[in-house]
Amino acid sequence: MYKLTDEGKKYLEEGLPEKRLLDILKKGEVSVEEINRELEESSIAISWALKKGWIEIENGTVKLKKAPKNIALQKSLKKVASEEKISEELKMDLIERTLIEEVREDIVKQAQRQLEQGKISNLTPQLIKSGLWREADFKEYDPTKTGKKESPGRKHLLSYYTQEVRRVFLDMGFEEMKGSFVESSFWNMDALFIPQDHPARDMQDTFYIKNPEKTDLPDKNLVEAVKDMHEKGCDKGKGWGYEWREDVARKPVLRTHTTAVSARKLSEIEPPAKLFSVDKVFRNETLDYSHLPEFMQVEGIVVDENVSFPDLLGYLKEFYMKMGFEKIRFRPGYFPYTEMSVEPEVYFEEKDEWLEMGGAGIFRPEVTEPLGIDVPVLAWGLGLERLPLLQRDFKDIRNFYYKNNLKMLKEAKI
Amino acid sequence: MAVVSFDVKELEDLTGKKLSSDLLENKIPMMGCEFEGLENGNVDYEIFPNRPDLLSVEGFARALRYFLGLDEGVETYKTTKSGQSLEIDKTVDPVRPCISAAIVKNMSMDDSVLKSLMQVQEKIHKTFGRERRKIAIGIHDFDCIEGPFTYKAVDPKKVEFIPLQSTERMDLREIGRKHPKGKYTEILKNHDKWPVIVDKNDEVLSFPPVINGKLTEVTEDTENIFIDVTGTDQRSVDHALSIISTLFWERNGSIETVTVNGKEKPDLDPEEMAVDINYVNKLLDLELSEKEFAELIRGMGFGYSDGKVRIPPYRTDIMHPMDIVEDVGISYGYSNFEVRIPDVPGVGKQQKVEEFSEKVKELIIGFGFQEVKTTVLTNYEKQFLKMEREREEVTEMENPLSGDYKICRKYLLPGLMEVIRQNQHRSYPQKVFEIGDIVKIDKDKDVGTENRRKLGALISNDNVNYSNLASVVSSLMDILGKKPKIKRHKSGTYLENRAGKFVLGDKEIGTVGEIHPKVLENWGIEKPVVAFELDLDLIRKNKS
Repeated sequence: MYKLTDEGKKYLEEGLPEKRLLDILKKGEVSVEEINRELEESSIAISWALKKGWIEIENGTVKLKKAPKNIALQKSLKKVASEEKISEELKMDLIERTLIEEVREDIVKQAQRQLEQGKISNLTPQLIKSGLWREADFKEYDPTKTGKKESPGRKHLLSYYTQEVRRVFLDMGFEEMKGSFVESSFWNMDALFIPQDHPARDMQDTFYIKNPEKTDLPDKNLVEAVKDMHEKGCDKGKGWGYEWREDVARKPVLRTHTTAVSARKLSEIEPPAKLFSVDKVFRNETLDYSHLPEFMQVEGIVVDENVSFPDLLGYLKEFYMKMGFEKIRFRPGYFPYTEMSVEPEVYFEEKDEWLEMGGAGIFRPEVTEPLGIDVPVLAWGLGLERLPLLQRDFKDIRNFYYKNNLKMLKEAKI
Repeated sequence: MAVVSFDVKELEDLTGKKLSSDLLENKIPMMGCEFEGLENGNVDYEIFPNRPDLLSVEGFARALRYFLGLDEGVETYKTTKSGQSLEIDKTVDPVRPCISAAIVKNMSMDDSVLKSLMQVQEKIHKTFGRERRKIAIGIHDFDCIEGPFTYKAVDPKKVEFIPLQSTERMDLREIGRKHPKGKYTEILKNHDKWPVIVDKNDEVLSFPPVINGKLTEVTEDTENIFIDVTGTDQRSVDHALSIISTLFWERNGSIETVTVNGKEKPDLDPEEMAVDINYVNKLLDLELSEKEFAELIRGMGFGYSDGKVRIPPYRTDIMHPMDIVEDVGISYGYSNFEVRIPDVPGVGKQQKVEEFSEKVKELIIGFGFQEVKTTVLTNYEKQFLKMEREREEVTEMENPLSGDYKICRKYLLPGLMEVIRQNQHRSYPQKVFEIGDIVKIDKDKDVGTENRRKLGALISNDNVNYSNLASVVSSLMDILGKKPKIKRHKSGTYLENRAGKFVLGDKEIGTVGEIHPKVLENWGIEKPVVAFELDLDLIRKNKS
């Protein structure tokens, strides 16, 4: 049961301040000073009327914008006075404005009823408000028991890692880049100096796309420069020495690496630049515990006149240290688009094993020259799924990524 | 990539050094290969595709001798003219135009040499040779044949011989049908005439790239060898011949040249490449003197004098001075470089779409939803048929290995339905969501498609209805400061009169509704599901 407070009673008689304001305004525009003079609760009145969108103020003058036919709150004051029911929403509004309050006798009665029933299991608002909690005999709980496990809504395990990796690169001053899943062979391979008959283009590795049938190539000069590099090389390099075909370069693929995005970016930027992405790549492989047809790649490039191989090792080491790997080593690797190719390996203590994390290197001049870059470009493409696999010893990544085992996702430790 | 297996004892004999397991496992990979395992006296390495010269135990041991400092510099391969010749007939031009040949004398064959030969041929065919399409190697007992030789293309029904691993005389088409290696005739299928190498008496030595003749089978008694390499690209054919013929040098054979259309083959003279030491020092951040540089590069089997690096003929991967830089780096030792703390300037900046997605993700988790990740690759059945939706134009794969990966998803909802189906035995209510990219056909883009960021979510429980989720969407949109209109929506996916679509400005940004029991039945889901899917890119870009 609720009853009107003194202020509530006053407004029942005189009308709510905002109602009285509307009454004044019905006669025409009025300045704020005049309202202040005429209305004791002018500031309450103006703020409520503004909130409801009834009035507007321009250059110190208050104008009526849209007056309501009747004011619901005013009506509900009347209803409370005559003990009629009102909506929960209006009730909350009235309580908030301290225009109504719960009848104390009711609260005491309810609290007493609770006390009569013996030991108290749940503390209630009635017990608190009446002060009768002082007489309560609280039931003993066993605080060593926590009850059943809660299952919160939370991020997917991999998201913790994606976010962490993104944070690390943003902290190191890298700008994030983004490209589309569908890419032309040109950007995915040709621009990276992968010859058109290279084993990497084998049907079993790359998803070729039937629809859309083909892609548009970039600027003619750029295409021509890439073609020349493949066919004839440059003043210092021999090239591959075969006939480069435009139709092969136009063939769309699902990008096999985000290095395609780096290549595109290189054709657009001026050094120095530091760019990264954490995004999905695709390989036409059969799904098993260690091969995923789609997975995340951590991509990064550093384009600068003064960078060299030790800088590349430095970026990689810094990254893995920040991701929580203390020991890292570097082994020679091979990628058709880098020279000084390196495969970083991190030491995984629980398994007493060094594990390969991906690839890195300095882009070959045959890659950078046609893209208009004449300074060294450090580049890497690292695995992401391996990080949770290693740190948490999850044996089969399919459970998380492809099968979405909700129990494991909810209980995964971080 | 190719994994090769070497007998450790043999590798030790050819290297001239005892190889400890630490050396095999940890040091040798620093030369540029990957350790795969050591078992029963055999060691396995993965060889990178740029180094076909490491595919044989002989070539591998040679590189190892240099790397371990047991040997130095470019070996000068002495060759003599054999006086033999091979003519290329024009008929091969359309089918397999390139060939090269060499002769090796005074070999002492034994089982291990034969095994090594088999392995290297097989590996080169598979990788460098593109399954024999680009390169095929034939090795013959030279003493069974008489030059001059001819390489020509013939009517496959009119030429017959006894192929290896057979006793029967067959024509070329029969070989294609009956012989275990006959599958390689696939490479020739678009041609009427197929290539053969014949000797003076028109005896078939080889039917490249398919099979050799029984006539020239190499055995432990073979002393003199004839090598042919055929293919589609002359440079690669010559490279393969250099790699194979220098391998016999390691077994003390003497290499003799063959006159192939007037040119002496193989040409094993080292190529010279001018390398600026400043360039090397800059990229590696070292201060090598010329002498130090020369020492390092010799440790990789190269020669050096007067500003020029001499490249041994089997190092077919050297295309640019940059490749020399890498070999210097390997010789110096990757582990000996001082790692530098990088200091290239730059300001961190994230993609707007990621920033926005993170905000939305935080909100939707606040509503109690669990994030899941489903695959971009899917099929028509899941995306459309099971959802009782008309098929739409989507990105379609040409060569998927599995029927599950035929198309790129256009909707997130089917993936979420699959999650629920797979988790039906787990506790309820199930509230899941995914924020991820879908692929939309867009003819105006250079790649013909566009990635779109979407949010999909659903609730499944015994007792769940439209308002449980519609309220989530409207609160979400409210917090994001967007005021979409909601209209009635009709589709096979949702129950009639229990679905709405959201419209922001003139753009439809998504739908919400109770999943139709027919769709639940299609998926085998036994509890009610309400779901929504929104286009986050459209919401983010809306300026209302």
